[in-house]
Amino acid sequence: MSEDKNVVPSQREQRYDRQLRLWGDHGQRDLEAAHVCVINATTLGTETIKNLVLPGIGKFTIVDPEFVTTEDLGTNFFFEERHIGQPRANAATELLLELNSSVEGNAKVDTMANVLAKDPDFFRQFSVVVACDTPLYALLPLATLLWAEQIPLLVARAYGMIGYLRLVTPEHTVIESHIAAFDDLRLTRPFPELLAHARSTILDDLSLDKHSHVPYPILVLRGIDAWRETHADLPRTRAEKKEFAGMLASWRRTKDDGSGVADEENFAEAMAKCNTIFRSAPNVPSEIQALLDDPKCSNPDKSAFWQLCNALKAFVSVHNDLPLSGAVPDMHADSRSYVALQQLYRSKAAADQAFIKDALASRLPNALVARFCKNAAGLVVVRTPSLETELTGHCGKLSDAAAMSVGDETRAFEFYIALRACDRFHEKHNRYPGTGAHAHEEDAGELSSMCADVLRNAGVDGVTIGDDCVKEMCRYGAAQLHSVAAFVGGMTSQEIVKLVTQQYVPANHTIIYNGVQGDSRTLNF
Amino acid sequence: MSTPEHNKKPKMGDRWAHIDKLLSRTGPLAVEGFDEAVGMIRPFLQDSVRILVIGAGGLGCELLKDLALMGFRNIDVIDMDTIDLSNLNRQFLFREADIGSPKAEVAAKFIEKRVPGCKVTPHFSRIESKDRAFYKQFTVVVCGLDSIVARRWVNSMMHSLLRYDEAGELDQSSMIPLVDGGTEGFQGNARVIFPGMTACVECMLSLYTPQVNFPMCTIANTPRLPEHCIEFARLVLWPKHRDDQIDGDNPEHITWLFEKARERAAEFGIGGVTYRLTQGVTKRIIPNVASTSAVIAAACANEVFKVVSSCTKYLDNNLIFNDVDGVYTYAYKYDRDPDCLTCSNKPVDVACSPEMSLTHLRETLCTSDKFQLRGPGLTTTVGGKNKTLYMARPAALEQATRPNLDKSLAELGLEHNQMVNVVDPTVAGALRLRLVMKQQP
Ligand SMILES: [Zn+2]
Repeated sequence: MSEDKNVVPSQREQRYDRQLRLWGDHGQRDLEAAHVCVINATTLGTETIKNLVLPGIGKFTIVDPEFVTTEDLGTNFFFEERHIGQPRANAATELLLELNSSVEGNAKVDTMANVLAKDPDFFRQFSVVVACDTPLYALLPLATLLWAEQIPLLVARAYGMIGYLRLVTPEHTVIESHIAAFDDLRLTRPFPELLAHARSTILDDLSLDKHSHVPYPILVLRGIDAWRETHADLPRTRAEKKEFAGMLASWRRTKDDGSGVADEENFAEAMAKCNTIFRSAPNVPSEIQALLDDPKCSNPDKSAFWQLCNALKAFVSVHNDLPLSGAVPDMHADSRSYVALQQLYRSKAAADQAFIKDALASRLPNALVARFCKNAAGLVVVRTPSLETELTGHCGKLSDAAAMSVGDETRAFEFYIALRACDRFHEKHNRYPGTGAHAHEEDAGELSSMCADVLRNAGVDGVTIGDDCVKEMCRYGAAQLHSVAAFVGGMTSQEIVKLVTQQYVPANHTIIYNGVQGDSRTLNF
Repeated sequence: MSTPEHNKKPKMGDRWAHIDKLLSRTGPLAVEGFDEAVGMIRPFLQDSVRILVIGAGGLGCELLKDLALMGFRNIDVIDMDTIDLSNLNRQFLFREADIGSPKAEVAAKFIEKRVPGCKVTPHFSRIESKDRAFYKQFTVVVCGLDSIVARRWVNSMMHSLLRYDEAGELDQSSMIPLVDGGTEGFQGNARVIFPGMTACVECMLSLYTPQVNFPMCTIANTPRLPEHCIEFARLVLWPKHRDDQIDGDNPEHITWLFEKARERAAEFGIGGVTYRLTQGVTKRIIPNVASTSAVIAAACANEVFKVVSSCTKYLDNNLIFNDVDGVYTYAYKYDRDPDCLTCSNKPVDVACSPEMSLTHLRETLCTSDKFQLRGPGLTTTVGGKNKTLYMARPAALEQATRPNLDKSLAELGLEHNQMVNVVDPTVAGALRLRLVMKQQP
């Protein structure tokens, strides 16, 4: 890939242009280095892979023991009539690879259980494993292996109008969360160079034109100097902030012709920002402090993330602040004043980066250190419960999730339990409720009592699953609606992009999509 | 678990067994009246229903696939664009060999090949080139557009098909549901509109973020960002030095702008001008990924399936999606604007005064939040005769009506309660406005 941004982009860059603008060249490199395993080429499976092949994932491998049926043709876009009777893994791989010649695809025609028994190392080669439309209980051995290897597992399902997506990972770390712009300008605790620069600006000496183009941070810093002459502390209350803004307002010039106060936009900006600038917030946000207090921060493993956090901790202990991002948002100012201000912030950010780099126990690429520092206020660690805990334990938090879902129109909690009950039904009868020759309504009674079993085993009291949910699940009979599978496949592929690029924040941890309401909820328990 | 040995023999079942579970069985969440129709729904869906997909881009490709696999067999698709290399990261019905070919035609052909029995009719044309008779043919219209103007035009067209009786009651048989999707980066939305009955695109106009334009004085005098320098090259230097129109896909054009922007940035000590940014600003590129298109199109296709079959409740009426931080969705009901330009079926009042110039009135229609028109043309009736106040096209008419622009409304013979018809790129047909004149004291 061309890192030289000054030439006409290559064919490759043009192809990926619309996504490079989101996750950058480095995100693309991470994506291209990834190898994802998809268990089962169901509609959900192939839709997920499609959305990864298009943006150029490195490799995918499909594990699937089944053969293409006529029914598959009515829901899955990656089979043709000529494939009927052939292994699904082969047919899907063939048609998916047509989408992007840079991607490599493999097919393994076997069950996950067989592969696991014969060659457990097989699953260790992947960046992420996605299990599609498999009952949870059948996934336990694989989930245990992946958990130990710290390979994230996604469990995805399309079940009638209901979609399900669960992330299973002991830990996933995010450097670039993209949650917000981190452009804190530190006006209440300016670094010396910034303060000196502000104090060198003598507002009274400036022409009206210059005066109305002084960047607002300088006005605020000069304001704070003036404020301190009569106040011991910074403005904190609403009245004090108002008083501060009023002081700035009084500094505005009169128009050259003497007809009232000049319309100085920079002052308007400074006054408007008073509320946020003087908001009392800790220098280090509590979420980031929690990371610094994590045992892994003091004793980092070999991951770049924790080594960088370790260096960050050293930085914070010296500076009592996070490294500066170096970003300066646009503001009303003349070019020279703005660029001069930007230069100050950039130099300070570079110095902060150099500190982190020196504090690192082992060398890491400069670009990575720079990205880490720029996004230090938005670092995220995601840890989910294991599948084993979910399936076998009394999960106290499940009761909380139940209590919180009272009145939820998507009925996410009820459908989650109903889906677990469908698995139980499958384990007992080797078929899902609502499938087979008899009338689908006949399974409702047993499914309903299985919902109660799931709740009882999980230690959730005082909750019942609505009959309408149970009956709908029987009606669905594990049908794969293309629309629901495509919706979940879209979500799943984006969660995979997040996992392999360490950008954006994966959902923690169970998403239920209700295709009836057209809405979803994320359950965390 | 089943083993490969069990499955060596192909299972022959019905192709539509999956959707049939929803269509041939009823359940507690089905729409009332669904029970009686069970059994007739799939033949209706497959033989009688006609769907129009507007746009064959990121959303359009997904929509065509989704609808074909939800059992729809009569689909039309309209798109005026041809295929570009930068489409291939999400528009999966196209290959490198298709670059330069019409999107609608290539997409239709691909779907027909992959899903035998599904007939897809392509229209390689502008939406405005089709008349009411064309749009009237469909059971549901689905929009996958990236332009707000085009979306407003389609909304306006679908509302123009409505019939009302003398009492002002809507004839529901004239109503064609509109399902609309939109994406930008990791965000998207889907909405279900029953024209004349539920909130329409115009009612929800405030949901769209207005386009950011940098002030000209910043671009010309106090550039601070690389974007300001690029806009200077595009808006000031290009017209000064070049005669041709800027083509954002022409590397020579972008290179020219890039170099001029870089020179200007160097002059002011501004960093960050790159080729990619230059092209992004010039073409106003909206970042897009396959996953978001997939999610939003699927949500739309699911609604089309539900609206046509009544197999279960519909989205009521607006869905927001964002998967930057976890996966966030929010479905909620957006209320109708009782004074909506498009769906209220009554003339809309516009406040003005006899002294106001026609130019001022046109500017009001463009800048007010309620109208947000793009280039209004106005006609009215004075003394029982039709009078064209201003028309931007054709050129001869523009020239003939241009002198009216500086005249006051009074000079043009317009009075309080005067009805004025307005045409605009955002409107199919015409808007009816009522001038409410404030008399000067
Ligand atoms: Zn409306």
